[in-house]
Amino acid sequence: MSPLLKNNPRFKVPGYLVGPILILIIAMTYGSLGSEYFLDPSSIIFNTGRYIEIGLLALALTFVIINGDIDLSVASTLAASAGVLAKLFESGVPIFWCCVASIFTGLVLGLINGLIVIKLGLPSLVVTLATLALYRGLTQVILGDGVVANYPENFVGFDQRLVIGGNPGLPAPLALFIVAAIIFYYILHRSNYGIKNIMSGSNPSSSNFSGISVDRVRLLAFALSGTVAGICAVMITSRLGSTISNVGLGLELLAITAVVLGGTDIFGGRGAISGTVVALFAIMAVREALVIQDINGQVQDAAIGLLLILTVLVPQIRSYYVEKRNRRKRFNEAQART
Amino acid sequence: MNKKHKALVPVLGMSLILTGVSASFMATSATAATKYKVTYIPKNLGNPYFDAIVGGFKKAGKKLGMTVKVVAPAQAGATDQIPFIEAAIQQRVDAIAISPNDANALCPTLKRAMKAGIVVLTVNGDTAVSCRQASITPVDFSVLGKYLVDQTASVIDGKGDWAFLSATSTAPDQNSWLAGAQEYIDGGGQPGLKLVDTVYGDDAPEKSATEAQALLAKYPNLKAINAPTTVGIAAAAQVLSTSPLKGKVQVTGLGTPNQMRQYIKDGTVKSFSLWDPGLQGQIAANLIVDIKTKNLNPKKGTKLKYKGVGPGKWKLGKGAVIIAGPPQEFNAKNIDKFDF
Repeated sequence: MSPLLKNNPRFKVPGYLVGPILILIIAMTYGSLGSEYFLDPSSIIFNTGRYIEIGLLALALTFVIINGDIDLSVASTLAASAGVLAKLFESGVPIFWCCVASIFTGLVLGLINGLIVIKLGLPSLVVTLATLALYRGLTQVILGDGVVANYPENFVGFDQRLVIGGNPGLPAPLALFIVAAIIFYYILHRSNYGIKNIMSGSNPSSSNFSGISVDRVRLLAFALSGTVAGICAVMITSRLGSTISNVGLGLELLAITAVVLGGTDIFGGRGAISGTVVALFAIMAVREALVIQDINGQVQDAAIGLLLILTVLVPQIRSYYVEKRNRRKRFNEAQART
Repeated sequence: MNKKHKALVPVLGMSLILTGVSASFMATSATAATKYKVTYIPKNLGNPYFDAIVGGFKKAGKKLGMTVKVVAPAQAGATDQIPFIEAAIQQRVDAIAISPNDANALCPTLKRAMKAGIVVLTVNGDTAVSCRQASITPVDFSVLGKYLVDQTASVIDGKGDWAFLSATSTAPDQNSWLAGAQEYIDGGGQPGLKLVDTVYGDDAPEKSATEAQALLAKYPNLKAINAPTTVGIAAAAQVLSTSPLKGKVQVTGLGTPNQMRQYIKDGTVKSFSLWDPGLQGQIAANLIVDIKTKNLNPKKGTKLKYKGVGPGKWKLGKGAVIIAGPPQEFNAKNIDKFDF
């Protein structure tokens, strides 16, 4: 190994990235061994389009989960926002204002989640499980069994547009995700809010004593997750060119999987944007490696489920061994002293 | 770099080498054994109706030198089929045949497939006309709506309350049949019947059974349930076969003979209908070869002739729609002649 790499702390791979990077590599290897068509750069880059909504939701959820909260309702929030967008469009509102309304709906629904959790002191798991059903039900009320389609040409197909042309080019969703990831990275790891966010999650009461308004930090995280769901509603509507009430069904599971796989502690206090980003691509690689080999939906779902269990389990096992090693080290040191 | 992560570097390197090697190996070993590669994407798996289409597709495909791959999502959600279409594009297949779960959401992806030079057909359900080259439907949809109403009338002697137990509320085929039925009723068809409700079992056995039970509880005067879906009719028949209402409430609709045989034998069901779903698969396979070899551009009025396949000849209707054949009624007298 080159001396540059050896003692340079900049090239150290953080522990939480090891798992997702391994999964990414294994999935890429498996995919390219199984299908000659897998390693096609332009296809791989284009196919990211379908995962960007999950990715954006996961970025926002990283903040919520670091606080020790969870938002299970993101996909339903997305659906309700998409429902508002669709209904307004149908009644003749210009598409731009429909999109604004969609994002605003997301913000409001996120705030409702946060306010119930914080003001009533209820566990976010229960509250957002309830709003998962509530917001989805709301969507069904708004849209009924109907389909809204015939969106304007310039609104539809945002995912098929290239920001940088060429082959492979840079499609709009991926570009947006990269920008979003950089922004979220700065917010979490470089801004005051990010520091407060991590502190609130790791020790809420001592954070409160040191002058951090933990409640406000948590509320902001819920608002963020709702707003991003509203943005994703616009994206998914543009991508599909139509809206029905079951839009985005089950996306929350993939988004939460990405966050947890990326090393964010499900109990709060620890997490990193880089982890979420790498984990998203790992999940994508797994899915794409399976689908290109004509493996059916059920197996794909099972694989993602297995991944989720492993991601929760592996850090636990790892910390168990780290703890054990430290203990042995202390024991040896103590023995050496005597 | 600390000790733990040192291990990662060789692993990473090895994998990259492995990937490279495998990619180049695969590229040289890819010699086409058959003439055409086709991917068929049914709505979901574990549905005997679609298994029959697959059977027909593969049977005809084998004769024509075609490999037919069948892939499907776990759920019948609107967007669940998109990854499979995109994988087929990536695999550079010659044709994609799909039974769409949604008439609109798949359009952008299907258009992308056509732009890549892939033949796109819809089978047993349709999207917008601009999203595929031709569509194969089992029967005439508008006639089928009327057929379902008349079928219901025939099992309850033309009088009484009845309800529809449909699949998903967004399934284009189901919706067009229900619309056709409503049109016929509104036009004064079967005035003795009263359609009291339409419920959706989402083509899931559990949910369909629950919806059927709810119908029985909600409408004490209910005389018949018509389920124009193979999952729904079997679930409804199963509910009634163990209910005190067996024989008092009739179940009819569209089902496969193998699924419904026991309910015909035990008297729960008088009659039901279907067509040969496999026929659609056979037509699709033949049509793909025609488009590929003869540069056929399917449109209204195009005539097709395939020997030994169902009625043998077809004329394409408006929007390049092919009607596979007429419906077939099954009852206690003839059910043992069919096996699918």
